[in-house]
Amino acid sequence: MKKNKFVLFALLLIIAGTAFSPVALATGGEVTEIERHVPSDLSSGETTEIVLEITGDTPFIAGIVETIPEGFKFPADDADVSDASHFKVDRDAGKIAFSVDGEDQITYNVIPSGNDGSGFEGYWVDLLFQTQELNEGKERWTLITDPNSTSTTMSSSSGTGDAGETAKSPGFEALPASIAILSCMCIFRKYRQGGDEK
Amino acid sequence: MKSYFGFLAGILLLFLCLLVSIMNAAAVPLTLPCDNGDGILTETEVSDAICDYMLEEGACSLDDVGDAAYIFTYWGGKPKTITDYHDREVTFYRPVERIITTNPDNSRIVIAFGDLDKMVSTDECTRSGCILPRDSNDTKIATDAWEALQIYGGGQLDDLPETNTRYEIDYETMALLQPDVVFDTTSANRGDLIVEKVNCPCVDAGSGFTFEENYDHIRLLGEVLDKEERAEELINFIQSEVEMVESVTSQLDESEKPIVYLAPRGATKGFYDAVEGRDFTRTEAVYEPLTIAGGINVAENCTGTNVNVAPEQIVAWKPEVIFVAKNSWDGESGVGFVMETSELSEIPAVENEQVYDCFYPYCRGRPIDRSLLNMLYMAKRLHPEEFSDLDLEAEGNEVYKQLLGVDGLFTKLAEYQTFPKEVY
Repeated sequence: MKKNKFVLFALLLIIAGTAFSPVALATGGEVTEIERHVPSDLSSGETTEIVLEITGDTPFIAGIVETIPEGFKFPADDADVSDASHFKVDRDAGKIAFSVDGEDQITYNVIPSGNDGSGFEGYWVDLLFQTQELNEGKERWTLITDPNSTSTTMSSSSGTGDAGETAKSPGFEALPASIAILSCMCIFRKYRQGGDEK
Repeated sequence: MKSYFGFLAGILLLFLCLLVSIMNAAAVPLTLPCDNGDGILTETEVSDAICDYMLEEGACSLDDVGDAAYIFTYWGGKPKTITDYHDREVTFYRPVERIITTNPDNSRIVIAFGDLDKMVSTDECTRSGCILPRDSNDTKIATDAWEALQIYGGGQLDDLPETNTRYEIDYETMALLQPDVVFDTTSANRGDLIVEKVNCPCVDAGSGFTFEENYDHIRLLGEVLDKEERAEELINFIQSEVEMVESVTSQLDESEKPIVYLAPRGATKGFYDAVEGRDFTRTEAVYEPLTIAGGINVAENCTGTNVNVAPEQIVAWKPEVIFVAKNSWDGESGVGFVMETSELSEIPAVENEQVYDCFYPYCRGRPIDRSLLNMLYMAKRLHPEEFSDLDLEAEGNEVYKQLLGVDGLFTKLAEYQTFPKEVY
């Protein structure tokens, strides 16, 4: 009993500390997770609705990109693809992007080419997140989870990872290059010295 | 001849590389990101930019679309303009994510807002002992507090790069760090120069010896950093501390208030320090912590700040209490000089042994933490009965909790600067 009280007290302290600390008070809204729901009974050639459920504290703005499985198509008319406020379809790449401003659910339609709906892949990024990092790549792109897919086991922090490293000392990238040029010039001069005399 | 031509070409190339690197590092944001040029970000502009970015099309980077989303959400899609202490209008076209401070007073408020992780460099005194304490050997004290304040990427406050000292400012390094804002001291009046050399907005702001000045300071930084709510919370806390003391002292008759001489620069170097032009004979005409604590400042009718007075004038004022600021956490007290100097022996405060240490009210600025601590401490010193219930240790710890987010710092400091314990 005493132990339970202690745990409860400790939990209350942690909650109060988190809620009233200067840092906690300073933070705004954020997206915490986006989950994809694909119907289990896909029928080839029939329009199917994909649902993206967004969890977060408003205000938030998130960017989302979904790549549909190979062979799947979007409806020909954009109006039939989604009733979301802001989206853009790249039919050639099989991609759809959304700009989400506080909505908790987004839907879009696809036309499957088969029964397997496991090939969806999508990422989201919280756009109101503030960081002092410059030249960010895709480090903050987060995988959209799918409760019915094996891909849900992937870490939410896994991005595409092709964005390269963020410069830790911005503005200094040119310095090594300049030093290298200077070094080359010195070597060049050394080898050229006396060449005319020869 | 050819080698000279090659050499000159190389020099020119090198110069161009350096020029490009500096220009890239110090690009002045004078337009909104992802804007069509009309100076207003609409929902469609922002959403289109986000969709293009997610599809890896378009010219906007994650920084751009993130900033555009932020401006649309929090600034109504328009640039933000504020007016600083020198009536300079400062316009922001990007949210502040990278901060440089040039003095501790601004650093302290940035930290109080929870924005330490946005600081990319700072001044020598923020890194040394003006925010967190060091002893007279420059060794960190209260190391738990140092450990608690972590900068972005890990490390303590003194791991931040130093971009200015008292007299010198490293504009080149500042520019290379690409800050979104520089918070500069009000005493230098160099805001426009910083804008020109660092190519980012500069806000001149600072604390003062009246609490109203401090409220203005906190509000201004809150406006710049979009921390208005936190700024009001901090102001409410300070106001509650002031109200706690003032509600008692405002009931006192003027005759019940002792006449006080404040030596805010201490007295360890005697009457006058030729190097800095200060010591026991330097005082302040306005020091609200003292007057709110129920003391009458003998210098209240003097004009200006940093008032120099003759020792004879101090004797003529006949102060009943003298507060001598102690300028280090573990160093020498100036009380001994005052008590043992024959020229001051006829002062009532000396005769009645009413000469006390107090907190040094400066630290390359006018730190609000020390103003609050002095108000609380002086209230207990001047009116011990009326403030017998005031728990200085608890209140002192709360001051640092509110400002720096660390626990028990005042208790630790009182182990080094023990005079507050005399009124516990």
